[in-house]
Amino acid sequence: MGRVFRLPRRTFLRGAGGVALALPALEIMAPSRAARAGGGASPKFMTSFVGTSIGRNHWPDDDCCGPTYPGDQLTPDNEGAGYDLKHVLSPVGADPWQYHSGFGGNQPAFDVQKELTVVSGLKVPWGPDGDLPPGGRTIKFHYCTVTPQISGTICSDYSEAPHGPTIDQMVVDAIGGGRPALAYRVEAKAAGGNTSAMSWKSNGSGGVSRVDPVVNPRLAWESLFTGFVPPDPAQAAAAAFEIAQRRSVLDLVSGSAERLVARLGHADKIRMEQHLDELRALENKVNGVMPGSAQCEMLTDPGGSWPVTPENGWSNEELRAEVLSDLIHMAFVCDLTNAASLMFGQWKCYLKMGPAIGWDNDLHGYSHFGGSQTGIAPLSDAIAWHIKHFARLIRKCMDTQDVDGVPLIDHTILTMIFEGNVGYDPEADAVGVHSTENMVVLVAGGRGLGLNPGRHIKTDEVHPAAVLLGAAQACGVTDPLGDIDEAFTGL
Amino acid sequence: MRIALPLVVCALPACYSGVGLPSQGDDGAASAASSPGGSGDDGASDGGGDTSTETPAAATHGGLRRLSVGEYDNAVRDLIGDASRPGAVFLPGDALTPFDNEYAQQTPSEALVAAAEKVAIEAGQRLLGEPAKLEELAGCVPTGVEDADCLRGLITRLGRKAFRRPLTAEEVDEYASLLAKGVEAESWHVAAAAVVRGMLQDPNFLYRVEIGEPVPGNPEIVALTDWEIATRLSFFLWRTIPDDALLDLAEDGKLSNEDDVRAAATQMLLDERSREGMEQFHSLWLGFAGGGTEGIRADMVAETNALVRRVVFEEEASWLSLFTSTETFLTPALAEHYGLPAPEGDMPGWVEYGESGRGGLLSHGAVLAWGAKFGDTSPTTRGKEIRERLFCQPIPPPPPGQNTDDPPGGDEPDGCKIDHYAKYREGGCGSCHSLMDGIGFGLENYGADGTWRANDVGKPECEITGDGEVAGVGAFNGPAGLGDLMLSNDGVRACALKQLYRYVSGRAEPDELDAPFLQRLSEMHNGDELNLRALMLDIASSDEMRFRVLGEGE
Repeated sequence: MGRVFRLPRRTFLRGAGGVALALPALEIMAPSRAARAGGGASPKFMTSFVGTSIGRNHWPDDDCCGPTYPGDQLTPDNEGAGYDLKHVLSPVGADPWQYHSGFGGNQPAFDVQKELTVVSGLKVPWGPDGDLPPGGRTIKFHYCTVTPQISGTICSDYSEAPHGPTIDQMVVDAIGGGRPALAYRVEAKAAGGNTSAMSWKSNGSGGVSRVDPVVNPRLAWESLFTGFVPPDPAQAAAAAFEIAQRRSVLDLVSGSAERLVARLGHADKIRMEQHLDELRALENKVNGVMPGSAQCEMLTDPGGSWPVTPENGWSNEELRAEVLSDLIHMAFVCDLTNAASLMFGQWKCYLKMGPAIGWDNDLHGYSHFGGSQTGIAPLSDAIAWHIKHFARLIRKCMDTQDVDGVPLIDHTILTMIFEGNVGYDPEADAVGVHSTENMVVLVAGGRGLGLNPGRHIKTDEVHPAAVLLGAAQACGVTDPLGDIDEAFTGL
Repeated sequence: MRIALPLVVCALPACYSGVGLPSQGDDGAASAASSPGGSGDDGASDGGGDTSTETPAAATHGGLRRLSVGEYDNAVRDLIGDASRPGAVFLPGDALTPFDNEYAQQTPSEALVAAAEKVAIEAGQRLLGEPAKLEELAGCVPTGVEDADCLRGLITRLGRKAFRRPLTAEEVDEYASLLAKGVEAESWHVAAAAVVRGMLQDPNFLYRVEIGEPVPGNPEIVALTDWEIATRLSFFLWRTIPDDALLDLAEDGKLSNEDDVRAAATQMLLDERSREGMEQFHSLWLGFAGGGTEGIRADMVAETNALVRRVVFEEEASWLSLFTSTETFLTPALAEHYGLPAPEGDMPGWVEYGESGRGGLLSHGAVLAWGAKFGDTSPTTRGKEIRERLFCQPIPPPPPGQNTDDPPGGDEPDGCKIDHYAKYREGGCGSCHSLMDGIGFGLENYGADGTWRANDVGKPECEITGDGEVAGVGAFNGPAGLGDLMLSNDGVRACALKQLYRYVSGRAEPDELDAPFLQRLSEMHNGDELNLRALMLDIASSDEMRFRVLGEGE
């Protein structure tokens, strides 16, 4: 089997069903250069998700759980550039900071405010099942807070699956040239299935297929650096042999899948074709060659067995977040993909974060001020922990040059979304944390793609998906995002 | 495609004599033909036995099912002797609904394919460090780097277990082409390890493939081949791949009728793997899978597993006596933790509950951990778990006006817990909370860690009575009382059957095609003690395990 770029079935079907039909096959198959920014750098896009609402309260006041929840711990008071940094955004600033708990002493600040835009006042609308507004959710909060944001489609049931591809997949569909988006999750022990994923792609049959995130850093590392050849001749020879062996085995396994496809009934055939698509994507990756680039390098093998602690216990998510962020960064540096998703935790995340921030209980408990805790401090610290990792990734992209010599962040847009914020909760018919009013999306970078980062932008109930779509359009996406056909243009 | 088989209509007790199926041939030896991949396969030998096909009384769904992570790890262990359980480290986690094998939830993904390759590569590398093990798997010692016959021996032997059928000639040839990698590396074992690599990520290993063979006169169903029946039996009773003995039965055509299958299943239930399989089934059903691997939590899991083994296999007692057992299996540490007498000899052993108020599985720490919330138990969540897992009564989501995520207490944090919860039983919430909270309060004397307590946490003025109620069923006190109450309720019996069927079929919600089978099982065991071992044998030897309805496009 030679080095053949094998066309995923869904790519073929997409091409065959649209205007690409008349194009030569190789133009569909080859990595697109059309969307590259000036000088040869291609746009990159990441969506990350934080599995909790943003709480509000004054800290250290103990008036949590009151009727009004004053004092947003994230949303700046001031608009425009130079916005004020509240506790949750401390990692974005220039000065070391500490968790309210004092745990771990000084924490790093990454000085990335000039690259980070805070878009606030967002809203995922809701309504009764059967009569949902575009991109709306049923009033049941947790189940339906992720997919409307990342897909722009309604969520009216408990399956959590969107009705169209998610924004990361839209980006690779538009400019990825067949290279798949990365999908990682930091929370090691999650519920599984749809609950624990944030990426869905078109399945070539009119529906979408869930993209399970990779959780194990070692697997993510090895999957990403498949094509690297070590500089040492002996190691290079061994690596070449290993690649050749993988290619042979994968070719054989794909042959098995192809034979099965031919013998299965309709429903089973679709599933086996999807499996075959993934095998071919893996083959393409193995057949690929790492581009030469001054700053493109194989990161150190994270090693270890990465055990998963049962019952949402702490499974070293601090280091997982660092390694997975580093891999996304290097994937962008090496131009291995144009899009990634990083799910820090599923919705209603029960991750026990004590070893990271020093508070007992879990993230969901923090958000409801449960157990022995009082006040907003644990939740603020927990969200600050997420922002710390997000800011760290922004900083890495600022400190790395793209192939055209400008900072990687200029051609990269990093976004972060949250489950909700305090506001009117239609489920309870009261103010509470189960609201999708007053939501926030963080958008970093993209200066070279036409964005003007570093501001706080207040909106009037814009849909979060419209913000993501606005960012994705800067990367070359032209299609609507689900029901959302009007992108937010203020970025 | 869903069809109402004319014969399904007949799937009622009147159609059967005992567990037998009148559709058998007179000599009871009617057999589905047994080719590796079913109809139209192209090369490998058929299983033995009669090639005529019996007419089934009933059939149900079938098709492609991916191995769950747990099944995958068991299969790797039994295929190549690698017990490191690598799937749990790398493969995407399964959704628990409550079982891990609901195939509608299984989505092929890059994470799955990459993880399967990773597991396969590492397993191959480990085997390269044990060349003798590779030779044992092959059943030969290679005479040199280019010993193609020995490599084909490995492919044939290992492939039969991995794919649960003989490989076709084409498949053997394809795998044999990996000899070139060994020649290049000047090592036969490199080629052998590459074969293992391939098989561990081959869809024929990752998925349970059921093609079947035509049933004369009935174009809407197919008879599973003996190989496919062996696979169904094995994953049902062992949660892993068939062993050589079971595959030998398939090869000899000895899984083609009810009696043969029952005999095979009877033998399988003597095997340790059936114990492990049933432990895993119960851990998924009762919601403590992965609940503890060390310390006192591991002791709790061992406690529940020991009871499952005793009831199902050692005593072959009523399945539901799990909930009324008067003894429990404790380590000295767990006995101290619970405040029960230590087992004899200061070694793990059975201990009488006596007058402690405990009784049965609902007294176990592994189960009492249900629904721990805000640092304490949640009577509502415990009640919900029991309603849904043990009564098969889904609780609808809370109505507008209720936020289930806020801690109890609200504006009156100093009151007693039972008083806080009393308000939930009023108004619109009451219809659901009355189904749940009464159950939970009957278990309130036991904390989320399984220890006994007389009062609310930190509130000595709030006495816990342990009085509970299963609305519509009756009142009880404590886990022993709840166990007795459950035993008297037909709904619990029906639910246990349904849960077992969900597990066997990989389907969360049985539909109209499944319903007659469930009904028949229920009627077959009506009035008896619901012996799980007998139940498993009835399912294993049923027509539904040997025939399936064709899907759309087949």
